[in-house]
Amino acid sequence: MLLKTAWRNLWRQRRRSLVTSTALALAISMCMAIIAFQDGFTREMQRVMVDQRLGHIQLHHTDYPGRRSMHDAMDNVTARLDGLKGQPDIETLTVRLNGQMLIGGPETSEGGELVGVMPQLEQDFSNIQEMVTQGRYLSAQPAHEVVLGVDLARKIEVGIGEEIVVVTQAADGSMGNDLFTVVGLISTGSERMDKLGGHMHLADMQSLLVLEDHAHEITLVAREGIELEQMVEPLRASPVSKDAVVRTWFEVEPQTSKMLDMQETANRLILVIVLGVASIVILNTMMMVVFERTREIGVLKALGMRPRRIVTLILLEAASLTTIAALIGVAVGGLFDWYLVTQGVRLMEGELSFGGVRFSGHFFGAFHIEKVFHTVGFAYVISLVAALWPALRAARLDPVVAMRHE
Amino acid sequence: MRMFLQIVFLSVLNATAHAAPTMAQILDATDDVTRGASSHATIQMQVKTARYERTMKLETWSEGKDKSLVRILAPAKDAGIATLMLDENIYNYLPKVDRTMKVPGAMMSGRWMGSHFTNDDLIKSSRLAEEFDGTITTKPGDGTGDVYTVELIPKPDTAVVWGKVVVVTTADLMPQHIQYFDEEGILVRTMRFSDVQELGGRRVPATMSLEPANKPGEFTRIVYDQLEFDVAIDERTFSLQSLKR
Repeated sequence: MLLKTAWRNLWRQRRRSLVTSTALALAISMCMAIIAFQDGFTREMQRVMVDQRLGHIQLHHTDYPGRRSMHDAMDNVTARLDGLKGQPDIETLTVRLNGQMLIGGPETSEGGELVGVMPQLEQDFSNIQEMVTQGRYLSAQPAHEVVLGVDLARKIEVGIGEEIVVVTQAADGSMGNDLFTVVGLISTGSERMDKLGGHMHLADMQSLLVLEDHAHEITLVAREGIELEQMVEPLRASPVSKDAVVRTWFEVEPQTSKMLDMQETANRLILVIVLGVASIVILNTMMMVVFERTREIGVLKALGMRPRRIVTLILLEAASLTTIAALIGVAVGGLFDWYLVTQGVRLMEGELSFGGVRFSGHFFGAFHIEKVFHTVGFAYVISLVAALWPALRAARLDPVVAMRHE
Repeated sequence: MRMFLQIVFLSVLNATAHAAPTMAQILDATDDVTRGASSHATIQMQVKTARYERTMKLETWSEGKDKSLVRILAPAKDAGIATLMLDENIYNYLPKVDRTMKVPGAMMSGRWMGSHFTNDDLIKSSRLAEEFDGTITTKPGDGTGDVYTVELIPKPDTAVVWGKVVVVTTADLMPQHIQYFDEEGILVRTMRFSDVQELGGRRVPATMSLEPANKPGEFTRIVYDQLEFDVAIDERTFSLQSLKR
């Protein structure tokens, strides 16, 4: 009964109710749009900074983390990979052997950090072939080929099809040196990679460094929905990780993990602010409602309406406003979300290089239905909180004084 | 190369010095000795690190303080590799790829052929008298042992990387060891001399061992098999073209 009264009270001031609802509806729809954008951004960041770079789980020789000495390489890599390939939880995996070497073009040489990889695995893992700007990626078989970062190639003045000399200290103390053909140039957006880096076939790197059947890193990406901590335990027990440490990506690079968490927190802060501002509208409206109906409330109280019911009445009015707002807001927000998810937003032409990784300038949103419920739920909470003070004030009015008001 | 050859010259000249040399004499002798001298030697270099141990056979030529050439004779994998030092530059010739590469500035602090000598060591020719101030802190017969100890502090405007260098020689001016300290006074490495012999007509310590202070057990040891001084060396030896021999 109270609800019907509350509802009808809204329409006594039709315009004001609509304006208030609209303001809140706008806030809700904006929140939905912002959430879709943020979630899309977060998903992209996760993909680029974690999935395609760090992977989910990494294996290294026990002494490798920290000093990253060339000599601390895992042995029997072929056997380890065989042990891993069977596992159903693994989406992609890649193997890497890192080498610091002098890279010589026709006239000049530069220090570089090249990585020996298995080309097919690497492509599946990180889509590196999409970053090849000239030429092509490595062949599947070792053929003394190399792809170089664009800036590195430019500094030593080599182009596709030309030869470079690679010189390094091998693991047995001898001087590793060989000729390689540049088959492709890559541009990753990571300064380090573009200026110093490149890939060659794992087998070529192994013989250059005299580290046959060794690797520095094995990196795995787990299938969607797999709990990483649970995946790590059996790996630690398996012979695949003999003399090696198995770590999740957030153990390897806690700062990226913290950064993504901070991002989440910042995102939520924005939403709180948006809805918080909207709640001021509710506050204002309910204050006015109580003020204008002071005499009426006085009469109600004189007639015996208990204070608690008055509070409930006011709160129900606020809740009703919110309901209208929610219906409109979700409808409009849904349109925004649909647009963001399907069409996306072109923030800039081309790509954005940030924090050593590259994002496409064209963002797509991500939609999660539970977030709509959260948003609407939160809208209810803040509008009820905003209405609480006016409601309590109404409940405490002295009937006699109130009836004499105005 | 420069550094240990220089020490050899120091010892050689001082072997012929008179009694009670002054510090100035020692330092001047060293400086004068590296001027205009030439040498040709074959050397065994043994490198022992925590990760590997290997022995190389090298042939070296040097002239003045600006030109040296080192060619690796053994082991087979590295045979034919040559390093040419001209003024402040180092060039490596690699026979397997038939290419000569200049070592860029950024890699000058890198190790030469996996030894404990850096590329910088090979190039730098500290002029003891000009770049250091020294004090003789012990003399034979003063009760501290039968050695001269000279403590050298680099002069303020020089580009020396060490904070202090301590040279210890025997009474007849044969170097025993040299200690190199960083700017905080911490010992970084020690060069030991031993096995004094008659080589090339002079008394020289035929074995020199460079030991890093922070890695016990590691060393790079040079043993002279053959050594000749003041030989005539064809000018073209110290050229990039002749590296490719």
